[in-house]
Amino acid sequence: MQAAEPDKTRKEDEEISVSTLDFAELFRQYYPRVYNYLRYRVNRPEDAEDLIGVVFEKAYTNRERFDEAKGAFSTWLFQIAHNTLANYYRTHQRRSKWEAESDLPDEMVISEPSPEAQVIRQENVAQLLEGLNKLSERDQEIISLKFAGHLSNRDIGQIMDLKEKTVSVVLLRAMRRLQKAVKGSIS
Amino acid sequence: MNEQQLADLFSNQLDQLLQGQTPVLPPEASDLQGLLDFGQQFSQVTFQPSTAAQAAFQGQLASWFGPPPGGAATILGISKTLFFTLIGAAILVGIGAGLTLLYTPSVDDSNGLSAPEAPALPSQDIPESPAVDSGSETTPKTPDSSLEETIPGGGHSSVGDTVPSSPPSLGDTLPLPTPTPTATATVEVDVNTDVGSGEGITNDTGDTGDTSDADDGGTSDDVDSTQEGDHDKGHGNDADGVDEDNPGNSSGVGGGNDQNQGGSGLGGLGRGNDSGSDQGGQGGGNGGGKGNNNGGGKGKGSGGKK
Repeated sequence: MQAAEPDKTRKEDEEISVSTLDFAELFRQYYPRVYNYLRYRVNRPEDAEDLIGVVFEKAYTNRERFDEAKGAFSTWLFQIAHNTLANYYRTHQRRSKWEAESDLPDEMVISEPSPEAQVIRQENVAQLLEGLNKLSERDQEIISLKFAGHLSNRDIGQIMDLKEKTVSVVLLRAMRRLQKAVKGSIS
Repeated sequence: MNEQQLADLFSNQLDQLLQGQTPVLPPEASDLQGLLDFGQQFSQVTFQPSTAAQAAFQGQLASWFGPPPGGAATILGISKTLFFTLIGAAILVGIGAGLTLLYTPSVDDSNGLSAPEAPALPSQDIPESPAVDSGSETTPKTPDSSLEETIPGGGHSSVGDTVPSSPPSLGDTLPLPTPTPTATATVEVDVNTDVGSGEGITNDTGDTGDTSDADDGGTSDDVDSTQEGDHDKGHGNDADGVDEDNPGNSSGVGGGNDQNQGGSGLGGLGRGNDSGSDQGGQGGGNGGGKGNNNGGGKGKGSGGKK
């Protein structure tokens, strides 16, 4: 019995070690996507950086609760981000409108070659984000999870407690509304 | 197509779009093309956290999980394995070089090529020093100090061979009258004349327990790097039985089996492989006694000669 103890301890240590390494790598892998999602939903980059710290701290604290059999890691992590964002909105005022294009954050990645193209691109992005801000909370959330988080409809449905089919329809409608909002802002 | 079908199709095409593929819509869903183009614009909106935020996140991860595996596997930009391999190789090379240097002087010395900075002692100052191996770089070179010339038996000196025939005395070896007043010269001479079997004695001729000792193999390469005089050290085999530095009180270590004259060196800690300090035989000096050689050198100490 005593002889088996060290083996058991060693095995547990190995499992913990592997688990630790996996989580670290997963955190690194998903950090940009989670930040992008949060940045879609909040207006200030400082808030997004604060929020992402909270998200990963929660993920780290509750990492033992993650069950791979219940869902993908991305779903679990974005669920935490989703809930963190909901708490953020409870304590903060609803974000203001997206500012003009001149106030667009520097961290926005634009791969246009020329400065003129970048300006045009920034204008378009500002209009897109401003149009997004006009949508309902659910539409914003679905679009953000889809475009910023690159999640599947199934994952989005798990996070938002919706059926996958419902997510498809809601997403289609949300995109149509967004397109209309952007066109309205342009006109 | 009803709305659900359009929505499913749109979602599938959107997933392809987000994966970098080009969506292809069927003709009956051509009205979705505008929406997909709009979605493509939206998919290009990407934000990156600031450098400070990324650094903070990395620091947080490091505090949680430790350094990343890739970072831990490298030291100074090279892999850990290669780093330690290089360290090991460097140590081996260093040991090899040290051994080479250790053995080289005796060879050179036999050819009279070493000890260039030794003071030119008059040959009459040490006319009868038989057990002196001049195989040290710091050893003053004297014309008659080669082992072959002084020790019968082709350099494999033993106490029995050397000491009785001509026991070295302090007066014989200390170059006190030499006109070189520098400390270095004094040290060198002192080292040179140490014939004891204690550890760390240059030109140890009394210790037969060590292979690198001159007594054993005739390849005494022991280089006394001590920069101080051999004061009361290495007298275990003090041939004259007198501890010159601490007369009558020397109880040092080492010494070896001083069977010759004096030097009750407790010791024999002397391992003849002394390449260094001449601390081996502290001792002896009480005269008379035979040292207990606890070390490798159970040779017959020929008595460290001051």
